[in-house]
Amino acid sequence: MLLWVLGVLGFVCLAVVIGQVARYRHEHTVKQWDKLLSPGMGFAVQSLELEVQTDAAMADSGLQGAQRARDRQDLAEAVRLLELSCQAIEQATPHRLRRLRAMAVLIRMAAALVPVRPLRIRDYRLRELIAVVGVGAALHQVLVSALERFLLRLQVLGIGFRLALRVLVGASRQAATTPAARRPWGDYERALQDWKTLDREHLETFKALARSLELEG
Amino acid sequence: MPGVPQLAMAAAVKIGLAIVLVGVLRRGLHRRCWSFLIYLLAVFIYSTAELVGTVLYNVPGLQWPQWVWSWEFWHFQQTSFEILKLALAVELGARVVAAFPGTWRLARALLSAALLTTTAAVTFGDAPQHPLLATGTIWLFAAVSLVVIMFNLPLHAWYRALLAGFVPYLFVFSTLQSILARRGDDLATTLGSIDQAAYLALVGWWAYAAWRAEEDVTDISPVLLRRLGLARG
Repeated sequence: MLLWVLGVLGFVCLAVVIGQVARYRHEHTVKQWDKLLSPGMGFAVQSLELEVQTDAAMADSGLQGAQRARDRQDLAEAVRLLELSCQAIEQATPHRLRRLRAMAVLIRMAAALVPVRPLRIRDYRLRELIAVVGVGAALHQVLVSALERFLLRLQVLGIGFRLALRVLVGASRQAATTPAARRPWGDYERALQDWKTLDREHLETFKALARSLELEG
Repeated sequence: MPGVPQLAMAAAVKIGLAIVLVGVLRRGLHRRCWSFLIYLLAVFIYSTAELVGTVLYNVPGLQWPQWVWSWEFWHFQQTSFEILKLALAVELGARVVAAFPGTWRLARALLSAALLTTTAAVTFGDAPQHPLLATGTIWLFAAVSLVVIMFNLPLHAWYRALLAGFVPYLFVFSTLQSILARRGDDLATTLGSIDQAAYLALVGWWAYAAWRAEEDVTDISPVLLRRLGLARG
């Protein structure tokens, strides 16, 4: 019996080793480490800061223009501008999700970590997001290592971005159907606020990663 | 006593081991894993003694060839090889994570767990000792691989060659063969008969890995390669 158990465990180990050796790409891995440890990280933070500000400004400007057009009773223009604002977010969100996934790989590679705080519930307005952030904050207290907390933060941000985008797109479509109704406009505003808060948190997360790499360097 | 084909195969293994030894020393790979050099030397010396003992077995007045073909010698030799392979796996683990302090805790925990479980199984289990030690070595290699996967660590080609060579061989010709033998399966006898050929293939793989050109990564500074433990300073 013991030998059978050992045999099965041995087979699992064999699969792990063969899988690892088969999928390993030396040049790719070394280049990932090169990127991680290169001094270009400071520049990357600056350009990301700019990107966060630009995307927020584009979405805000679209929404404000749409609100002004709506006040003037120019509903067609209001919907067009609202859709422009929504498009800016739709185009920006996939970048954020890709960056979060890349950070999940990079953070495992980082030997030293700057501790991160959990997201704050009071910063968010959408119910769905408040629930996700609340669960994340509770889990943050349960987890022990800085790495686990960092990965949790990335997960919460990823889910948050998807939820906010869903509400934004839904509200924008609803506003296009019934431009005079107040609710979709209110939902859109709240979702946009939350998306911008998430974006700032995603920037902070990136900065924390860069700082931890500087410490390591 | 072995026949001519077995003797020819044994001689081929010795030649192969000599080629691996020269390749390892020539490229300085022994500095990447000292245990492997000791293992190679041990296998080379023991198996050469065995081969010479076979040839001189019937020479009158010589006692030592009989001793070389005794169970005590075989048991001693196998235990030495198993312990050296365990040491090799531990050294490989330590060297792979050496440049990454953040991985030390996990690597220590996994390697300790594998070593403790092996020790407990050998001490308290009713299974034969040699397959247990071989399975313990596989666990240690798997623990190293897990840490590499988890942290996306770079792995020198020599370490990959050792992992890819040892683990399948040990699993098939030690763990699996022992299980099949206990069940009385005929496949165990078949595996036993091709073991020497498989070991020759393994030695051929090491020779290839020891003699092939160093992996070249373009556009990466030597400083970074040294920092990652992929180049010597």
